[in-house]
This record gives sequence, structure tokens and C-alpha cells, in this order.
Amino acid sequence: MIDTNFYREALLIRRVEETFLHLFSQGKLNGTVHTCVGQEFSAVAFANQLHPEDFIFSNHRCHGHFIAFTKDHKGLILELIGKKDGVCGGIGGSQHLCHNNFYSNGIQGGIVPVAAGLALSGKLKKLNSIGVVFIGDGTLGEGVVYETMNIISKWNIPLLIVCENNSYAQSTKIDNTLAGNILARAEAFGIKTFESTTGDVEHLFSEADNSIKYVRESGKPAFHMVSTYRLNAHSKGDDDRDPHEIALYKSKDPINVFAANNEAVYTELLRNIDEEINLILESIETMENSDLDSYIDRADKTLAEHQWTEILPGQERMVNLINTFFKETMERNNKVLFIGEDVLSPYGGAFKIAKDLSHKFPNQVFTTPISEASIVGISNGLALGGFKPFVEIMFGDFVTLAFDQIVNHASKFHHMYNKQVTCPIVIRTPMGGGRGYGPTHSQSLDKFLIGIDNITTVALNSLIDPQIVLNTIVDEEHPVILIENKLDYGRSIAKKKLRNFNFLRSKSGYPVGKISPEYAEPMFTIVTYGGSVTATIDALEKLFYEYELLGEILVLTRIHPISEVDYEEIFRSCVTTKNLFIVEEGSGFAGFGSEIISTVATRVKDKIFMNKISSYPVPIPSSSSLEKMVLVSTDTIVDSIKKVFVNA
Amino acid sequence: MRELENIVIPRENVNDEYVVINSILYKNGDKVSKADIIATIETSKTDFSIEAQSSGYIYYECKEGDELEIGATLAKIFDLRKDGEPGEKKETAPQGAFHVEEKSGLKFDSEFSKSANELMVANNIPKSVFAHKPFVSKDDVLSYLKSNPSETNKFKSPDSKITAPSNIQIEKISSTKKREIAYLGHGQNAGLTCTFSINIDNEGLLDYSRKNHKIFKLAILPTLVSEISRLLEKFPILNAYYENEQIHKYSEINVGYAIDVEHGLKVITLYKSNTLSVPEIETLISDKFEKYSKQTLEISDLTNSTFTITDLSKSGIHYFKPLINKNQAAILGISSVNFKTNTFNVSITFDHRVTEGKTVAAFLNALKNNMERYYKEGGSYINRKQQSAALLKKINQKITEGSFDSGEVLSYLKEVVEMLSEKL
Repeated sequence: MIDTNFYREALLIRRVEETFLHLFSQGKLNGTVHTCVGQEFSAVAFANQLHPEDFIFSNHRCHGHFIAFTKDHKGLILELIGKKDGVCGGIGGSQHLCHNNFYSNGIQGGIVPVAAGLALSGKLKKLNSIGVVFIGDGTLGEGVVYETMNIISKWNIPLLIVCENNSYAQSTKIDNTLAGNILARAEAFGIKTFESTTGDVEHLFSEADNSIKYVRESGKPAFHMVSTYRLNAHSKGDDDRDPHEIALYKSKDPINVFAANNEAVYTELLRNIDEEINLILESIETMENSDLDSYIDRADKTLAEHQWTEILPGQERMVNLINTFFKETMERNNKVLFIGEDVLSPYGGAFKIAKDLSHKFPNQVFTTPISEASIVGISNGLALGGFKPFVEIMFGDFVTLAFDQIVNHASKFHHMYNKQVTCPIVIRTPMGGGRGYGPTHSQSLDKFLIGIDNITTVALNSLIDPQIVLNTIVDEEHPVILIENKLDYGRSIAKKKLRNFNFLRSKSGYPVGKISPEYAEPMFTIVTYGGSVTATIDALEKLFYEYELLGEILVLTRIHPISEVDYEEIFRSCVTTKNLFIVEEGSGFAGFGSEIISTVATRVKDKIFMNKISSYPVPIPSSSSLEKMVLVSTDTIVDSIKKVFVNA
Repeated sequence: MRELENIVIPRENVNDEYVVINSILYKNGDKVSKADIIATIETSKTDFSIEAQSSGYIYYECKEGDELEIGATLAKIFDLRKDGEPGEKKETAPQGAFHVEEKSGLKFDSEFSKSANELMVANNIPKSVFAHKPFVSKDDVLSYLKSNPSETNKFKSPDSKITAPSNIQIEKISSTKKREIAYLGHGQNAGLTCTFSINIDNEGLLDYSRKNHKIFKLAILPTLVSEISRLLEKFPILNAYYENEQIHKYSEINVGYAIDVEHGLKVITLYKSNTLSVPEIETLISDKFEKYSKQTLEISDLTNSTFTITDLSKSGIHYFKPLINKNQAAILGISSVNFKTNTFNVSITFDHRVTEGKTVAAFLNALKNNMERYYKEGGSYINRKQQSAALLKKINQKITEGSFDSGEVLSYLKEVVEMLSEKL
């Protein structure tokens, strides 16, 4: 027989859930709720046997886990009603909670690698802590779960995966969608498995203790399946299950059984709990909601002007400059981690950026299986856990596999948890064609990586020393996507200097490069970034030599969000030249160029002729001749600009 | 948007393949009306204006200072202004002209455009000339060339702001002179010209002119023109010019006659002079002379000559070496009569890249013989006609008289036939 307090807690959870259902029907809740009525003991059993330095990562059905672990049912109620004093100021709501080592997110598969990363951060910090991630039977459909199981087993990450199998994924019975055996999945990865049911609470408690102890003592992961049943619908109102089945489980429900067997105690507990809840509900009337100003960050309008300094040509190739940065930074800061596929020395990564790093910093370099989603997720977790992970996606094209982790996790944590956490992850990847690698290894997917909430997108280029940029990125609190260029890796900085042009960069953390004619007024402005810089400089040279057209180039390093100071520089140039061209290697539609043009159009009063110069919107061919014609090149830049000025 | 007119560079003379765009009088997108002068162009002979033939919006395909080929499009006129035109900046700044801040004393290692570079090389202009400019366009070089034509440039200091010493007065040359210099440069630049001369006996020349010429009673000129024109049929190599290692032979003989009286030196063209009779030539020269005086000469009067005659017979000069004209291989100069020897000198300067001394000597000797026969032996065709007519009369008389001697008649007839069939 387990302690009555646990029954109380389970009952508290149930009553809060039922309160939510009631509030929902009264229209006082925004959104929906996924109640865990019937599954409470799963939460109670695990949460109460963890240490304070452990963490729980839960899913959409997280209320029980939250209440059992944080004891803050009041905060939860306020959160769902949308009050400022709620767990996350009313911003996260039911599915996105963060408080005292408790996290939840509404993306069920995606939370698993994040939890693994967070558990790994505890291991690296030698906290002797473990993490518990709650998934459901339905979650077993998501691929990233298996990617993560592979890694946690291989790397010995102290994560306990608790799979609450209630046989239904939303409305779908498990038989319809789950092949094979659940425990066999974990066993296939060499992960130790445990099994319990909420129908036998005592066994559940002792097994939970066992699995928790196992993970903590061995430092290895475990998979604990808890068979259970939810007595209510998946969320609200949509329950097509057989009523007889529901009735059966209801009669076997442990709280109901306890109630039946301990009527007096139960009644007293219930009355006590309900009174508590009612007090909370009454107090809510006078509480404030969150205000917009504390939620959104107002853009910095200070108009400090750029200070300029000359760009001197460098001797080192870019790949070496980046490699040196990592060597110096990882030496000084052991929180900086290098994560990627094939990065172990002597190979040092597909483009050799990681050369020698694993020799010098064996505890800070992680070579991974081919699991982009999982390794970015784990990096998210490491970032939440206080590390500065630089995760490398081998080819820019593969970033698509990690898109969920970027958009629904890295981008969201800071805001949805009401700014309680930051996620300083850096995702590095090389984009760009020109080597004949073909349609899926040559793309510039930059346009899909700009404009994501709270994510800074930066692009290296052959004009600006990458170490300046990387040193700024190291200090960023929030996620950064760093776009590199395959062809630029082999180039040195500012190799080609055009005679009688000033080569300047701004003295800022994300420098703007400016190439402008000396003592002559330019006739057009080109704004560009990243891998297109080299071709644009060649075009500038050719445009004067062949067509006597003088222009100036502005090169942006941070391509999103573009700072006010950078915009002012672009405006100044446009107003002088009245002709603006934007060069980018991706296809032009809805990308960097479109964004700049729309900003100039809305904010500059003068009439400016504007145009984008980009590659053809078609998959990039492998054959050398065709690839050259599809991708934006010096010649296409020259032609596009020249035909505006020269009527012939 | 429709194109209403395609204004091309007209061909005004056989010689020129290019014209220079002197001035563009409108901006792209301006509205022009029919008969508006939209540009002026400069040929090797003169300047003239181009008019629009339609009303609409003009868009130029060239800029001031450009050299355009005959037939190339100078501008087009459309019914509507073009959309999506580049920013205003383009209209105010003529293409190729950069606003360079004039910072005194700043020296640059200048960057030259391709076309600027080509012009520099062709005209032997040193790069240091533009050291004050960071970027040099073709326009910049052309402007420089306008005030510093390449021939004189070799020895002149590039800084045109040198102040002259006080005992020298400086006058800028006229555009006509400039054109003349450029023109004459063509034939003489190669440095391979040679002058041959021959003295022609003057006896009986005035009598002959008085008797045979209608207008020019005191000058041998019209007969000379006629004679030379027909001689050129036998010496086509002198009716040609050299270019790019090739000899270009003219299919027509248009002798040019140089006039320099009150309106400057001009060469007027006598088209197909080899087909004209002497009276026709007289009339022609006289007409052109009148046009010269009234300054109503047209482009066609001044272009397309293939061989030039320059006449200094009234000047008192006994001998001179004329300069060959552009796109010709030879020029013939007539000096004044030397009354002591009673001869006058005729010299030909010829381009040694086209022909050699032997040919020119033969030409001159033939010319001398023919001319002397005219008034010594009355050897003109007309005279020959008259003589053969006289002979035939004699034969007729003999036949009428009955003093018919077949041998004698035959020999007379032979003479007639010879005389009439002899072209020389």
C-alpha cells in the first residue's frame, strides 16, 4: 500500500484536470486541454522519486507530470486561464510549460532528443542527475525517437524514456498503427526496458524506483513502458471509443478503487482539494493578463552610424580561419561543443572544419550518426543545459531534416517559456553549388532559414574575416544559424582588390562590407551576402571595364534580422545611386532580395529602380555547363545590370 | 509600345565608313516632334544634322563622341515612354561620365575601361595624362583627344594648362582645319609617298584654249581634266587607295578638283569625268565654282572623288609636291607657266604602297604627249574628227574629180581609220 499522500496528489491532479474541462465548457480557457485523467499515478510514481536536480520533459498531456514534479498546480491553473502569474505568463499555455526543471512542448517526437541533450548536459556537468521524458504509444511513430534511442544508447546518456501506453493515439487504436512490439524497439538499441501498469500502483512505484536508480547508477538510458488508460477524450469532446471499454477501465481505475475502499478518507481529501481549487479560482478574478510590451522585444531604433575600417587581404584560407577559431575558443571555453557527422580526427569533417579538434578537445567534440534531426535536438537540449553547442549539418541541403528542431524548438523556447530560458545553439552548414554535386547537394536554402522567430541568421563571405563573425556568435544568447559556402572554404579573405575601389568593413560584430569607387560617385548599388560575394566583385570589375558602369557593393553578414544601422547604410546608398540590385545564389522568389526590396520600397521616399539577380528557380543540374547557366554568375550579374543602363 | 522610327546613320559619301556623333540634343525619353534636329554628326568632310521624321519619345543608342558605322542605329522613336526605366540618376549623368570630386593634387593609378584603353593605345596617349582621375572612360579619352589630336600629341606635354611664353600668340585651329589635318593624315601617315614631275611644253596652249574652250578661254584645265580622266582608264591603279594591306580600286572615275579661294580649300567632285566631253566638263566646273562661291555646295559635291587635281597655275608657283587626299592613291598638281622655258610643271604625288615609279612615269609621259599633241598637232579627238572629215572631203573631191588613185585613197582611208580608232 502506498502512502496516502500519493493518492491525494493523484486526486489533486484529477480534480485540476476536471476543473479545466469545466472551465473549458464555460469558455474560460483559450485553446484546448489534453487531460491525463486515469493516468495520474504514472506521473506521481516517477515525479516523486526523482531528485531536484533531475528534470522532466513532457508532452501535450503534461499536467499530471507538472503538478507531481513542481507541486505548482496554482501556477498551472493561472497559466491555462492566461494570467501573468501563470507558469509562463499565459504564453505557453497547456502544452508549453517550464518551471524548476520541468519542460514540456506540444511536439511529441521532437522533445525526445531535446531531453537527451539536457540529460547529456547534466552528465557533462557531472551533476549525477537524470532526465525523464514522457512519450505516448503514438509517439512511437516519429522517426526522431529512434534516432535518439540510437544515440543515447551509444553515448550512454542518462535518460529515462517513460512510454505511457494508453493504446490510443488521439482517436487511433494502437493496433492500427503500431507494428511489432514496443519494448523490442528499445531492446533493439541495447536499451534496458522496464514495464508497469497504472492498474498496479504498488508495482508501478517500485518499478519506477528501479528504473530511475538504474539510469542514475549506470549512467545508461532505459525505456519504461507504463500501460494505462485515459478515461477522458484525447483533448476535448472527441471520444469515439467504445463506452463499454471506458466503463471497464473506469471501474478498475486506482483512484476510483481507492475511493470505493476508503470512502471517508477519500471524501475528506476531495473536499479539501476542491476547496483549495476554488480559492485559487476566486483569486483569479483580480489578476492581470500579460502585456504586449513585456512580451515582444521592441526593435532597437538607435541610429548609431557605422564606423569603417579598411579590409586587408588575408593569407589563410577560410577553412583554416574557422578551424583556428574553434581551437582558440574551445580552449578558453569548455562549454563550447563541436557536434557533427564524421568530425573525428583525422578526417575532421567533410570540409575539414573540425580538423584536429577531437584530438585536442576529446570531451568537447561529438561525432554523430547520420541523424540531423536528433543531433540538432540534442544540441538544443545541451544549449538549454548551459552549453554552447556548434552543430554542423554537413550539406546545407540536409538542414531540411532538422527543420522541426529549428522552428518548433530552438525558435520557441525563449518566448513560449516567458523568457525563463535561452537556447544558444549554433547550427552551421555550407550552402551553395558550383561543384557539380547535383540537385540535393548544391542548394542555397537560405530563404527558408531567415525570418524564423528569435533566430539570428548569419552568412560568412569571402570579404570579411570569419573570426570576427564567429566571435560575435559565441556571445549570442539565442539561436544562430550560420550559413557557410562550400567554394568559399578554399578562399582567403579579400583576395581580389579592385584598383581605385575602397574595400571597407564596418566595425561591428556582424560587419557590413562596402566596396565603393574612390572619389567617384557610383551609379548603382548591389546588396549581396554569402557565397555570391566573389562573383559580385568580379562583376563590378567587369561592369566598369566593359561598360563603363561604376557601382558599389554592400555585403551583409547578418542577413536576419537586419539591423537598423545596416538598413541605413543600404538606404543611403540607394538614395545616392537610385539603382538597387540584390544578388543571391538561391532562387529569387520570397527570399533575401524580396525582403530588402520591400523594406526599401516602404521606407525610402525617393524613386529607386530595384531588381533581384538570382539563380533560375529550378533544381540545380549536375553537368558543369548547365550548372553554370542555372546558377547566378559573374556574367548574369553583369548582363542584368548592364541592360538597365545600356540600351543596345 | 511601338517603334515609330529607326534613325540610322546615313551614307553620305563613298569614303566614310564611320561618322562621329558630335552632339546629342535630347535626353532619353524626351518628346521630339517631326523635323526636330535630334543630333549632329561629323563626317570626314563636314558636319550635318539629323532630323526626326516622326513625333514621339526618343531613345538614343549612342552617346556624344561615339563613332558609329554607316547604317547603324543612332536613335529610335517610340509612341510611348518606356516602362521600368532605370532611376533618374541615369538621365542626368551622361553615360560614362562619372562625377569625380576634383581634389587637387590627388594622383591615382587610374583604372581604364576597355574602350578607353583601346583609344589610348590607338592614339599613343600615355596613361599619366589621366592621373587625376581614378576611373577613365571612353568619353574622357575622346574629350581629351578633341583638344589634343593624336598627331601633335607625341611631343606635347600632357598638361594643357602650360602658359605660353609672352612672345607667342596662341590661336585654336578651326574645325575645318582639324578635319583637313585628319584627312591629309590618312594618305601621308604611312610616309610612303613619292612625287614625280614632268614639264609640259606651253607653246600654243593659250591659242588652243581660246579656240577650243567655251568658258575657260585662258586655261588648259578642262582639257587636262578630260585627258587625265580618260588616261585613268588605262591606269586604274592610280584610281584606287590603300587600306589594311589591300588595294581598293574604284569602279568609277570621279576626278576631284581642288578649289581654294574665298571659302577655304575644298575638293569638288566631277562625277564620271571620263565620260564627259570637254564642254560638259567646262560647264560642270563652272557650276560647281558658282556653288562654292555661294556656299551652296552639298555633301555629294564634296565626297566620292577618286583622284584629285590641284591647280596652282595662277599662283606663280613653278613646282610643288601636293599631298594625297584620304582614300586616294595619287594627286596631280599643276604649276604656273615658267615663261623663260615656256613650260609648266605637272607633278604627281603617289602612294608607294599602291603603285611604283615606273607606272607613274608612264602615266606622266603619256599625259605630256597627249597634251602637247593637242595644241601642237591638234591631236584632240575633235580635231582628229575635223581632220578626218577634211581627209574624207579630199577623197570625195578626188573621186568627183576623177583623179582617183586607189593606192592614195587607201592610204588616206587608213589614216582616217587610224585617227578615229586611236583612243590616245
